[in-house]
Amino acid sequence: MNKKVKILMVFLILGLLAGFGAYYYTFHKPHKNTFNLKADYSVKAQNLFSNFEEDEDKANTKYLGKIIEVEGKVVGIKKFSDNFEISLMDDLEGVTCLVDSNYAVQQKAILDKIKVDDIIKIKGQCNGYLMGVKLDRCVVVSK
Amino acid sequence: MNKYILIFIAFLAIGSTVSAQKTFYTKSGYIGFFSTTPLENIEARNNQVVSFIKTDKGSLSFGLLVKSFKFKNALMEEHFNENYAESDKFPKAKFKGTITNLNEIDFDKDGVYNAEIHGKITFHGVSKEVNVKSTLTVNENKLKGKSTFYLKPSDFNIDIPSVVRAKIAKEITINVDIDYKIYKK
Repeated sequence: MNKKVKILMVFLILGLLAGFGAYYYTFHKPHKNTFNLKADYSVKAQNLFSNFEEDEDKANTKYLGKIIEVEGKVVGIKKFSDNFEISLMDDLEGVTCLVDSNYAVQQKAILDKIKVDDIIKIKGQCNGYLMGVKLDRCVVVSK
Repeated sequence: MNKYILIFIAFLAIGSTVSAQKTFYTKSGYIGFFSTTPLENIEARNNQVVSFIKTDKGSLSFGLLVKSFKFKNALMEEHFNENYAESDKFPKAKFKGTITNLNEIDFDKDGVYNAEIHGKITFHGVSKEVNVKSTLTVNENKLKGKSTFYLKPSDFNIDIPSVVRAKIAKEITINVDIDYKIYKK
């Protein structure tokens, strides 16, 4: 086999590997990790809620799918099937932050310490407004 | 005169027991969907479903945020939100309906009941009437609702490109599992 063919073969194999790698990455890319995401907005729970209450469409355009850091008073903590749900401001119509099970595992120590009436900062993805503002994939920023 | 007052009070008492209406609710119910084909299984879970049941007329409502559906695969979640459900344009899905065999269900008596529900689902800006069977379990002022039914993406104006058509089931399985609490004002 002459040298040119060998070089060509090497490039071909590398190309195939890269192609497969790119394919694999596209289809199996991991979820964004909220820990590493910079918040698009940092707001008080009360302000976030009233933004949605006053003009839902406008608030949706601004916040939907964005990472929001919210500061507010804890009024309820609920645990169900390894997920933690922390309600800020109002139990029925406030800001509900879902700490999904995989994040809850990583933050067990801090979650166990959170109590009703604590003021916390939490960040997560905003899913919209339905009996309050809903965030999920949340991580606790500070307590 | 006293007699009339007594009768009046008696009527009031009867009236209030007859219309002993209960409202059950949750804001962390579960709805998931599942698509299975030989090529690929797709599953999404939503743990932030809001739902109310009013026992007097058997009225039922569900609401959910489309972005609260979580997929294991990040790309599927992205495609679902951007290409199929268009969750920026249609952030909510809802269902409003009634229990059609209400006379067979006693919300004051513990037990397992089969409920037949008729109503309208709105998703992706399209409304569709459906009939759904479900199981209601009454247990000491708590209520558990479960149901499985099937929906077609094509009924909700969702176009699936031919490249991926083989990977998405024609009928999507919907699982509903809700733990209701009694609503106190």
